[in-house]
Amino acid sequence: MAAGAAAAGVVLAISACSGGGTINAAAVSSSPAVLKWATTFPTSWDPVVNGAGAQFRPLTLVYASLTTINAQGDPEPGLASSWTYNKTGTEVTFHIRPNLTFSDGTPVNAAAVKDEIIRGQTQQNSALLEDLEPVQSVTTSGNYNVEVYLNHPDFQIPLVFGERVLLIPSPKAAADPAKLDQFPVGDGPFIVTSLVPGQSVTLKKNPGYWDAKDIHIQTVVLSAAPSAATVVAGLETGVYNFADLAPSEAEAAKAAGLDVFVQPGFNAENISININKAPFKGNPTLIEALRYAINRQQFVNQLTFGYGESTDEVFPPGYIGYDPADANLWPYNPAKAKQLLAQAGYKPDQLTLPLVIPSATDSPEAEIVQAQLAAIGINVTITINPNWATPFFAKQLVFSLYGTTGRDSATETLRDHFGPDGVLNLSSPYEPSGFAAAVNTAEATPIGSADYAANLQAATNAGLQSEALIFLYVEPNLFAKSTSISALPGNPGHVEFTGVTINGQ
Amino acid sequence: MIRRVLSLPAGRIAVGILSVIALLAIFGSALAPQNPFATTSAQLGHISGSHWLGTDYLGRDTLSRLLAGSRASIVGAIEVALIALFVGAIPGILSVYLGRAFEWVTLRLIDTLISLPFLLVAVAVTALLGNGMTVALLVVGVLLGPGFYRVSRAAALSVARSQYVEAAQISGASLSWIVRRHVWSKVLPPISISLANTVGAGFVVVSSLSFLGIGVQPPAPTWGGMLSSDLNYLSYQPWAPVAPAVLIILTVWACNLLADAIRDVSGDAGRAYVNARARRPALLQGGA
Amino acid sequence: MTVTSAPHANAPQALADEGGHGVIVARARHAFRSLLRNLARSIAIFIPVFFVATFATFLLRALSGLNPARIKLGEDATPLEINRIEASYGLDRGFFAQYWSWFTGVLHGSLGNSWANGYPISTLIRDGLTISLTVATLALILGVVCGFALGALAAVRRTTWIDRGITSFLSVTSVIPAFVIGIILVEVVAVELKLLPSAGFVPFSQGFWPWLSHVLLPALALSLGCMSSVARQLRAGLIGAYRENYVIGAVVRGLSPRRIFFRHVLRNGIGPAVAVLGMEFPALIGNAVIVETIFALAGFGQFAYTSAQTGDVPAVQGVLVISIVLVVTFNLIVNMVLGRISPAARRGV
Repeated sequence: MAAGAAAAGVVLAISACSGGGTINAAAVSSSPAVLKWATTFPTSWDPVVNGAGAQFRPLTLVYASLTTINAQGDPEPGLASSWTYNKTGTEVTFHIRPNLTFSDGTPVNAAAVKDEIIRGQTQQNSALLEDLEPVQSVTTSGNYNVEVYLNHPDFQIPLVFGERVLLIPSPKAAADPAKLDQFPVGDGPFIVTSLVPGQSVTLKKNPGYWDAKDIHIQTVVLSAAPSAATVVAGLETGVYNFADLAPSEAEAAKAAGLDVFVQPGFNAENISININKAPFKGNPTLIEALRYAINRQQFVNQLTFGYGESTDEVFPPGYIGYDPADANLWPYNPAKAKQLLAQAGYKPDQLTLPLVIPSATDSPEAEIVQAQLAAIGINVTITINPNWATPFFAKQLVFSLYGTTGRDSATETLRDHFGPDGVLNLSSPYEPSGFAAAVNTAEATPIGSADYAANLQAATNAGLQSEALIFLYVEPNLFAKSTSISALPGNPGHVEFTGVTINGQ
Repeated sequence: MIRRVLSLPAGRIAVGILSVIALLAIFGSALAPQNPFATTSAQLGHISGSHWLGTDYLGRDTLSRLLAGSRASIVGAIEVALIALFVGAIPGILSVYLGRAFEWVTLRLIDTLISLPFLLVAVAVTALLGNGMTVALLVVGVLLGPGFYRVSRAAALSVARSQYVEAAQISGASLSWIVRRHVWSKVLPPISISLANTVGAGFVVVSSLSFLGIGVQPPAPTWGGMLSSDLNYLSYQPWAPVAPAVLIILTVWACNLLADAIRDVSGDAGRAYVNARARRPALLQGGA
Repeated sequence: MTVTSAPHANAPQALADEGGHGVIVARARHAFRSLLRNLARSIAIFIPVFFVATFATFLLRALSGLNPARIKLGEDATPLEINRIEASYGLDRGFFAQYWSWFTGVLHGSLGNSWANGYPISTLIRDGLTISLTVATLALILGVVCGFALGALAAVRRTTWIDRGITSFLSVTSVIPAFVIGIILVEVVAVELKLLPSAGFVPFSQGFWPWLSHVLLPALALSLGCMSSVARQLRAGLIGAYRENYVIGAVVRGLSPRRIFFRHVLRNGIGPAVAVLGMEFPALIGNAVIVETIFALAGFGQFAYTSAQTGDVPAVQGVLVISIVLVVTFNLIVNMVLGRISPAARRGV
């Protein structure tokens, strides 16, 4: 028995000691400016494959984009120090900052930018097709000038070429996209030192970042987000000092003395419908029945814990793209919904719809949809499939829930939801009539000009006629942070660490 | 035998608890005070007159959901035990009649099954084969089969080679009489002990699987699933996990208690024990 | 002085005291040989188990109908695309050809690559395994130490209220499922009392207390089942040993209760308790799946769960193979320990 105990002791010691395999433990524990962030990991570390969805945030630690935005949502210089449009808005030249290099030594130049744009347009599994649709061709002039030729006048490009679409990897690393996914190389605020997929990533500060002087954090350790209940406890006990927070935990976080950071943004939750599949195919009355069956207020009351509000548009109320005239297009009316269901040719409880969700965290929202549709006589079966993203983006699902965190460019958001190749358009290639023209007009209007708001809202109006989307509510992203971390910049939709200090360092 | 079991206080407690649970399984949904699927606006409500255990994250009555979920958990556990009985007893009985080679092969298979970490295999195999409760029950039943192998083999051995069966056959007794008189009383106790223990073990595994979300079809409530979602709202309802947890613990405890009680009263020693208890003066019977 | 009716368990000891050097050497060689025989026997059982189990896990893929194309392309992938992807993974060969190349790979230590992200599965498992083994070993130590203490105490003080109290305690703890204990611990210790963190893993190199504070709760949750099994088996075994004749003989000879316990009763009564450890270890690994979910440990169990849910068959196969190896190795160790400390068990009594 003594031998057994000794053996156990040895195993314990060995396994405990070698547990520091992926984390450079010595550096982490001695250096105080460490950000320990509990978050969801991206589907892919290749920006072209990951696309413009919310999972891009960890990627912004590794890669830099051409532009960024300020608190008002206006474009600011990033890797590009400036840009100039021609008069008609069909051509824009970006001037890249000189003398920057990626962390593998490849120079940051116009050729790298051009390669990335072309890769986004041509790579087989690119999720950026619709976002890059306006780009007709790209040329370089000299080492640091990128000339972008557009299909039609489009003044949104500086906003489009931001974090979500144009994170620039090193062209040498991007030559093998599969390798890039396993070890990302860019010129962002941090450099990846080790990566275990789905579990943890360690990064160290990149002194070659164009804004390195404003980055005060030395090391970042990303860990997979734990279950909601343990996030707050993890923060309290120092396992993390920064974490994605579910609204249900906000009260507990505040009670524990943590800061709750409400990220301003353009989040909007929706029900996406695939009109190319039965039973929705050729049955617009059925879709209308669904519209009147939805009670947005229940979502707000039971899911957002005071942080959200209802919306029936793709933007939150108050945003420049929000069209006040379209508010409440389809008010909650279950009686009318039942009528429409009968008109669509279905008896109560005759129709069953399959709803696939990625994880149990989405179950409450799905259950509300299920309950509301059950009230008018449609049965919904919920299945949890961690591979949900694949059939969703491959447009194979019949209907689904989706939540966007918006885009820097309002027309980009519209295109992604309503455009024929929109990554969030489950009904591709369906496009509401009049949308293409309206969004082109909005894009051709310079940002800040007198007509901009009106044209943008007209485009929103055209898009909302889409039969493929029912918008539900808006809810900002919440983060809980230890008080030792200073405030983050409030740039809408961005999680940036520019100027953030830990423990005053 | 049932009478003997009931003569023990432990037996009475176990049977009592299990009868209540069985009633819940059969009549659960009917007993529920409210519709377990009806969402209301009283989210995460506290204990009140209309909601004896409060409400969940969608305003549904927790007590009704517990009652409605009882059938799935209990029926699942019983199915697991029956599958295990089937899977374990058949090779066990056959091994007595089919010779050493067969016995060696089945013993190796049994060794394999016991060396597999239970829940891990159940999770892995179920998820790969369709994530449904039926598959899960089948897999768990197969994994629990070894528990019945040894017992049924021993029982079959004792019957096949016992002399009183031979004697009874020589004296012309009919097969059914032999079975009823000799085989049944020898075989029933060990099988029932294993059955009771397996129902308890199966119950734990079924709850664990539904805790992990396997075999759960929202909005159908399950005790394990309710525990899992209660974890997300602990800051609002710290007492919420108590009810499903207590139910699970009670059921498993009652199963094990029943198994112990059966063991205490079966066999010759058991019969003597029961008779001795019956003859003891009433004063001494407490706390035995 | 001859030893009259020396208890058989003590015979080697007594003879060694009596005999002299030659006898001791012979005894040692005999013990060594029986150890080897034990080892060989255990390995002989291990081999068919390994074969059957690995074959069964490989069969899983065929039964599951899953393929990497489904993960990458979704359910509507055209047959052409599916064939292309399957060919790139070598899945278009015959069943036995695939099994053979996978099996030989396993024997060489390579578990294949994950369908989800192409990483070698052995790398993915290794980091999780470190965490899980740490927690499991701590749980085992806790369970064994507490179980032995409680079982021994209950046996030595049998039929007193101490014994009754311990037995009732054990009958309750043995039925509480690991995840219920985990939830209770999270809620009471971590959330309400804020004594220990409720999530994450800190490697030992970052300090003893940070490491211990993170693994203690999950290890506790896992250890209760083990502890109650060990305690009950030890209690039963010791009580049985106490009833043996040689104990009466030892009392008559005037040995102190302490010496009776440690030299005679314990050695003979410990067998079932150690044997049950062999069955508790698979339960530990199995329950790790749930405990790791509750305590947010990126361990082996968690990896198994996510691989299974995403349909990453090679990863699941790798997990099953590793767990079989773990359990069988542990059983080998237990068998050897059993053979050493309990000669009666070694003889198959």
